[in-house]
Amino acid sequence: MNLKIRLYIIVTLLALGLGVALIKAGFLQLVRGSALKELAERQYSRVTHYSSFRGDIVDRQGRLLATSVGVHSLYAEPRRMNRPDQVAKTLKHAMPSLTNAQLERLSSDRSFVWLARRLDPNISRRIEDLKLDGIGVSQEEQRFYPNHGLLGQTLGFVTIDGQSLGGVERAFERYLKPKSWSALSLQDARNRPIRSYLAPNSEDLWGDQITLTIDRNVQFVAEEVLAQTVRAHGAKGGWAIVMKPKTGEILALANVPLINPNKHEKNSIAKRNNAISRTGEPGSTFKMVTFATAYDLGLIHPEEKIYCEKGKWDLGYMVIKDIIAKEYLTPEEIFKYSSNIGTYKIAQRIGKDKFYEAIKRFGYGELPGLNLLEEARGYVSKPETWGLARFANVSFGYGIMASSLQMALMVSTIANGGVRVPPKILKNIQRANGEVYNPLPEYRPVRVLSEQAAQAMTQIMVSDTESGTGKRAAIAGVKVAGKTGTAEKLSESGRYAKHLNLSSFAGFAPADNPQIVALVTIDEPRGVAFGGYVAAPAWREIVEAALIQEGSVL
Amino acid sequence: MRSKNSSFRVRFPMGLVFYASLLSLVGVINIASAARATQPNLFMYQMLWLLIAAGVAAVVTFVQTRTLGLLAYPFYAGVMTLLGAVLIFGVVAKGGQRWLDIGFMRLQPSELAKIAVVLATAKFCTDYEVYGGYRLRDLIRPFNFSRPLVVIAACLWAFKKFPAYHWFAVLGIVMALVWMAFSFQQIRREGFHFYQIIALGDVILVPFLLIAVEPDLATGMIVLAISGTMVLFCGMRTLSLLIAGVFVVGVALVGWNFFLKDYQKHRVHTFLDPDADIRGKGYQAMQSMIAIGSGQVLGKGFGEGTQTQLSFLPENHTDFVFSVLAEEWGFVGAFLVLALFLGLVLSMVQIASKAQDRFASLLAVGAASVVFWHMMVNVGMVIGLLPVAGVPLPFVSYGGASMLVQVAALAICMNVSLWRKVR
Repeated sequence: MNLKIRLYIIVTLLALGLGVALIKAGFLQLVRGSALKELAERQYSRVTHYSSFRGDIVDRQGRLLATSVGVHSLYAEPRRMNRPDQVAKTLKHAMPSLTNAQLERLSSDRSFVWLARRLDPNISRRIEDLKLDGIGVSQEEQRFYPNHGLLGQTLGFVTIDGQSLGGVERAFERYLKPKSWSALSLQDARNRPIRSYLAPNSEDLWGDQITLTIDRNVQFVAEEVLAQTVRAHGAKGGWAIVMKPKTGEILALANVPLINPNKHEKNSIAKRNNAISRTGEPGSTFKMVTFATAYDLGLIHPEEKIYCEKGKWDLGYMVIKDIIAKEYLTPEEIFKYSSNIGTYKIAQRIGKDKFYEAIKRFGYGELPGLNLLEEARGYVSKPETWGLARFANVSFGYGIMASSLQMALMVSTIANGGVRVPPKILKNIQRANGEVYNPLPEYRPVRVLSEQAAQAMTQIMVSDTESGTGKRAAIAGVKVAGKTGTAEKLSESGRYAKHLNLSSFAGFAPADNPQIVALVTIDEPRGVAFGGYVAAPAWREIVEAALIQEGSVL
Repeated sequence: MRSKNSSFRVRFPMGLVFYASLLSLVGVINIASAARATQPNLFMYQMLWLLIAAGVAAVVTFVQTRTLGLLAYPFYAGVMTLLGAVLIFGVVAKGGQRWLDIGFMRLQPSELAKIAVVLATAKFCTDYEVYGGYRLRDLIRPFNFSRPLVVIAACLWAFKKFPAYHWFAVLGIVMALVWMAFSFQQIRREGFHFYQIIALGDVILVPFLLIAVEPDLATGMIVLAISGTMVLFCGMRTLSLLIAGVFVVGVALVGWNFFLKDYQKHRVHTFLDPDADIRGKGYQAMQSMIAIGSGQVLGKGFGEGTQTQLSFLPENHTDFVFSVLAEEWGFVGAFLVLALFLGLVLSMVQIASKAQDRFASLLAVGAASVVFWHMMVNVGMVIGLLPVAGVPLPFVSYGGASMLVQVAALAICMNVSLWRKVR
């Protein structure tokens, strides 16, 4: 082989070697390029989440109902620690309350562990001053309810991990929760972040502030009065709704016993917001529907006398009894004495189908529209399924399921001259930048009754408080319209129990220019259980306070 | 008649200087990007090294080629002495004893060995030519009288060291004496030449072994590859080549099982399956491939290589510069740099083909293989064709020693080109 050939061979081998290298480089860059690029991105990209605190909840005057405060929590990054045992010793010295189990987390292989949460600020400052490697103190959010039990069931609460449970907190979560902001940045091989953007201002990330229609003072009085009444009558509990008929705004939603949302772990049964979530047979208060419909259809005359069967009417399929037995009664008297017999006789004039339609028009069997998750729909069966007895029962408030809020809404409709204004608890929402908005749809008021019918209803409701069962609800100097209710509860055995009652009073004031609608229910009072005796005085106190608060009368 | 000036122009290897300068420029730019975060002034030091290397190159270029031949053996002997000294006095670092502390700096004799081997092999192959190409026995020369002398020396040492087995030593000495008789017969037949003492194989294997036991197998292999290429260029008989091939495979198998250190085996395992353990031993190889692959066609741009700048890529301004390049300049950049290397090595080979004599030609081939093998092993390791080893990329990697060696090789070629007789 001469030199030339050997040179050619060498050059060929050289080119071959380079060719193989080029092919491999091409394979990496052109064929596997995008896959490897993704791998690279996974290595260097780091997503940082920024967040802030939940928005406040305030009452209609801007008084704080729920707010968030920053608390310090202690965390560790075990992977960044060289001498965990040393760190543990120092920490134990600075904070003796740390348990061994908590300190053992330092030796784990995790990149992040909580050591202790919601620290005493003095201790957290002491630990921060130690400047231990891999130990940090971070600010966490804690929900705080400055009024403790006030409006507890309605506000709901937030867990240690920021989970909202129930009430306004849950229902308006999407507005209340802090805005989160994620930023993609780079990190190097040692996981050190390389920041290439401006971190957001934490105030801009605050959750929106929710303004409720609740009036803290009315709420406070309602709860106080309820608590006193419940105590005085040895009752199981009680609830009250106070609202403004013209706008549908709820001023108070009180539930007794109170729960303290700051300590939400306890009182699981008491967490129920009975005022809006509990449904039951409404009892004689429901007679308002019967009367209002009859007035609306022009089926009763104020002067007429209706025969009331001397307090006991045997229909064959059932026996209807009245507590106050009379022979002849005017419609007003029937209402005032809460005569079941008279009421059924009036209902018979209306007829099943029309009566059912009226019930539905008043909003029974439908969500009232507060947009709280606890709201109950209630239940009204179809008139086709009504037997004769069921029709009679429904006419005086049995055989259907309704919530207290639905009852209050009915009273509010009458107070409003027959126009149903849907209730609301959310006044508005305010963004961190001050912008105010209301995301909920505007409900249009619906006329349920004629003006005259509403007037007539108001008339007989006024006479009830002036001379009927609701006398104790009368407020000096103010004309009050109302209706008592004493509904028998079904006992656990499924029968009506004489000693298990829901005593209620529903009404509005002033009767000639209604400002406040309220409904008070006392659950299972002991002894005399008539609504006029148990609930009416409480109603009066609450409505007095509400009228003063609203500054319209008194 | 041409003027002296135009004759210089004809002889001056423009291509060589062009490619090498471009590669050095690429290197400086690349170091400026790779070390931007950690050592922003590093590229200036590289430029300083280039300047020093240019001085060395000037010296090497302008001595006569003949002088290089005269210096070959003394230089070789000196470097071998240093390699021996490293094994005894060397500084231990990075899992090997590779450096000599000479006060103001650390000297790595294995770098010098690369040049020494080129000079010595060229000189030897020139003085010892076998018609029809070398046979294995021409390389090994088993009947050189130095062989029985070494055996006798070993036996004498064993005689003192293990007195209980001195009969074996005596037997060894007797056999060595018989062996020596054959040596003298060979001398009588061929006459006394230098190659009766040292064989070509010794020239090649001694530096390899001295470097390999440091241990620095990669550099040893490169030294072996350089001299091996030169011998192949001189020509070997086909049968001998085949036998040598089988022998090399056998040695590799035995070496793997008995002599390779664990970290060396790790490297090979890693090379064979880098994905198996991305966070562990395969980390460097995998990171290098991620960096290269993520560069795709056009690259991420100067200073924009995420893997480089965020330190995912290890050794990014020394051994893994090619990954930086491929990440920031894409396949286009990698292709261009490889093309520059091809151009450089080809022009070196061309100088070899036009050299005035066998010695000059061998020098040029040796210089070309210094550049080629470094480039090939480095690129191969960086793109995952070869196991990870500490071999720099000529002219591009940061490092004074590497720069000096590569520029010296370049200067040898320029010397050959400039001192040839132009017809």
